[in-house]
Amino acid sequence: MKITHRNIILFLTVCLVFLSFLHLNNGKINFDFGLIFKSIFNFNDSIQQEIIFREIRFPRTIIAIFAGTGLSIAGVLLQTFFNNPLAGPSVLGITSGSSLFVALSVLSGFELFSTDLGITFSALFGAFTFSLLILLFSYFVKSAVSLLLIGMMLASFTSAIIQILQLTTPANQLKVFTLWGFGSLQQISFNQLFFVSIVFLLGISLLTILIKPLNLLVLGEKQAQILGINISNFKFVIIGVSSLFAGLITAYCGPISFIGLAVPNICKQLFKTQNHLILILGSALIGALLLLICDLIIMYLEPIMLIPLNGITALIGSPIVVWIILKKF
Amino acid sequence: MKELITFENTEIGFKETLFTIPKLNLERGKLYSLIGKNAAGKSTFFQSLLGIIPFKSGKININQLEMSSISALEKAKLIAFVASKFDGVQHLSGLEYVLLGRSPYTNFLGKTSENDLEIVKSIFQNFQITHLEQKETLKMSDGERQILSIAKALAQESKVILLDEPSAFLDYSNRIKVLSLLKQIAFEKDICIVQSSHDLEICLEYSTDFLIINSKNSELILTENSNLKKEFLIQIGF
Repeated sequence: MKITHRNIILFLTVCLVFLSFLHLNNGKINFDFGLIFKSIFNFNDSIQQEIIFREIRFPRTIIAIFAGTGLSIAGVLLQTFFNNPLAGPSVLGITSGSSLFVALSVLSGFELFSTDLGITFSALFGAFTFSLLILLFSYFVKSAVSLLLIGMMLASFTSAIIQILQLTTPANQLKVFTLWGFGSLQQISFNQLFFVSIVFLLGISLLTILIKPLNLLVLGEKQAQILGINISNFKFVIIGVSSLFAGLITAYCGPISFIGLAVPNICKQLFKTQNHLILILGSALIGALLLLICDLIIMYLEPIMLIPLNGITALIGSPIVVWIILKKF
Repeated sequence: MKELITFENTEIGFKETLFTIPKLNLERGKLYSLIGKNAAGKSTFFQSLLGIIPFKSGKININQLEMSSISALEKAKLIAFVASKFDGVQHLSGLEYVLLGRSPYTNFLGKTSENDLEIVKSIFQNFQITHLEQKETLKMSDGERQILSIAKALAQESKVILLDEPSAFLDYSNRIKVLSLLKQIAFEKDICIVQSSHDLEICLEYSTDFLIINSKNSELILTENSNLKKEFLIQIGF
């Protein structure tokens, strides 16, 4: 069989389906199609097995796929937009923006801000604000590395504020927030999944209008305009969609690092193309796969020790970043 | 109709006027060489024509249409542009690069059709560069990339091609290759090509007409190749 883009996509999809079932099946109760179907569509809350599937396993698998996909796509958009292979939602400080606003809303003590809607809204707001901030800085600094340093400074600045906020917080809220900060795929419930899916699909559908502009943006803003696409019309859509993904995932899983940075680079190395339809599809699949693998490792090690998600992603992600730097800078 | 671009009392410049064009018609089937001193406004002239920066006053009509009434997409079908240098992009192959020239004709997803591929492939054959189709643009020489950029402009099937110092970064043999290619395209496709250059000798050999920015009175004038005199160039301060 020839190695074409289509075949690699097909192979990754098969892997994703397989790993999803593996992920879903992990635990004491064996996997059963009838059981999972019933737990979702015909739920009976007196059967313990159905509760476990509906409230614990199914949301965890789905959010792993969503988080891997969303962060990786945000990474692709940001890397092309800033023309920087090391860009990503966490390095540019966008997830820190989400964290800051989530911290402010959770620790503020107002009931309204601590609801799902409140947290999601503040995470999205934080991501979008910090994206705009980075966009603003990008007009003044021309060097790709400088922009990353500014992103990292934004991150340390926000983490300092968060630490100060934590000092004055009651223990209960503090624990919730600290656990959230480690990054986890176990906090989401079945009922929240519906809302998350809608926002997620909104982001996916907006991607369709971005593929052609992104393909041309590879040649620079001026060339894109000469080929009939005015990039300034798309600037805020690109920033908006990447913030939407980064903010949404951060709200429900905490700030997950490295996925958004590493996955697009793995994808480019694998597909060797600049066609963003392929890059987005490929990164989405690889991102979902990688996060499922990370979470499976956490599950398998659970009897021995409890590793936070960010620990695993950093272990896998940071060598990849060093490899990119060695190759390109 | 032979005229493709007409100027009438056009003042070129962004903040201050760089030069004026009292009256000028640019025609099909010609290779114009735009010459002038550094900072005379050659690049500004191109950018004004492309609509990237506005011009100060006067009229520019492209293909009988008022410049301001043409949308970005329509303009892409009328004018193509080649920059003096393309640095190459990682993982972007020669074929993918030239196919991007078909963007004005593709759907919102940018999907290229069989027809697009056919047009691009025939350009590769015409230029005798089929060996560059699968080569990564980042790993090419400056000469190879410049020829691909011209191929991309040609794939755009526009009526005008503008080139900003296309041979500035090339060695002698590649300069000749590029210029003879441009002349051939202008005649065969019956389109209007304007290239800026500092290399007067090569321009004299290949271009049909000269557009000269007169630094003395800040005017753009048209001179046929055969009428170009050395004394005149010295007089206007080239």
